[in-house]
Amino acid sequence: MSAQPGSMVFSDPGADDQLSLLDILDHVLNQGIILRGNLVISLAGVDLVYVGLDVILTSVETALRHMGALTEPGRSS
Amino acid sequence: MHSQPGVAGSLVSHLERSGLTIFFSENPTTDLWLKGPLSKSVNEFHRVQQEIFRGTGIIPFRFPTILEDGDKLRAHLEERSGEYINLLARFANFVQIDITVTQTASSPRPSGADYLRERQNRNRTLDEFTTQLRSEAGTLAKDWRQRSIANGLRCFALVERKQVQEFNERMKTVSMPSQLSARVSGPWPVAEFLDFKS
Repeated sequence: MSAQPGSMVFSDPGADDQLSLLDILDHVLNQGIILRGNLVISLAGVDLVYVGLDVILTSVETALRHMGALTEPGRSS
Repeated sequence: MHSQPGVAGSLVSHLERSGLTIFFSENPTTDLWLKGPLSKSVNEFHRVQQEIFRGTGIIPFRFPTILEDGDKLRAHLEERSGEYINLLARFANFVQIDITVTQTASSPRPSGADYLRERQNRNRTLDEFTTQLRSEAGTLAKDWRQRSIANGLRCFALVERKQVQEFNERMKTVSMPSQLSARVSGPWPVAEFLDFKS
């Protein structure tokens, strides 16, 4: 969803609308600290943090499902 | 400081270490992440961040950041706490405002030369518009970064928390070319301005 041609729209991260959700997805998945070395976010051997948003949206869920099947009981997630 | 549950209703704990407070959830299995659609989990993660961010500056971790155990978390804080403390102090009163400027779709052109000419004009309009945005922001933007995206430009302004409304009002005064649209969102944590050593 984007603004109409020739217009400027304002979006508040606290608002509960579709526009804000897109921004939230972008920020939460694409911005912020990336832990490195042994602390890199890695699920089932897939390094999730260096791929783009579109790929993340697919690969996280896929990788999580994969990891869920592999994770031993009692291991922290 | 924090009251609402985390992703999928998980308990959000906090750990104080080396002068920092870090918020996290501890879960025995990865089932937590599978309970709902990713967008729902992301939204829940965001709500926790926002609640804390409303009261103070934060350094966000990307979602999902998953560590093996608490020892890994403590070790990470021991290693990086000095850097985190410096950044939090430096950006304590600042927030980030995002401005996404998008070019509207162009109509088909009869020749390659026409296409290139139009593209050149559109890029010039985009450059002029973003220059105008920055100019209008003036000293309200303590820092400004921008990068190209597929069909436009994304700008990030570092703004004092108390001046967000004034900043938005100034953006509204910039006249929009018909070939462009703009989306201003924020305030966000200053993630784009966190330059880490490694």
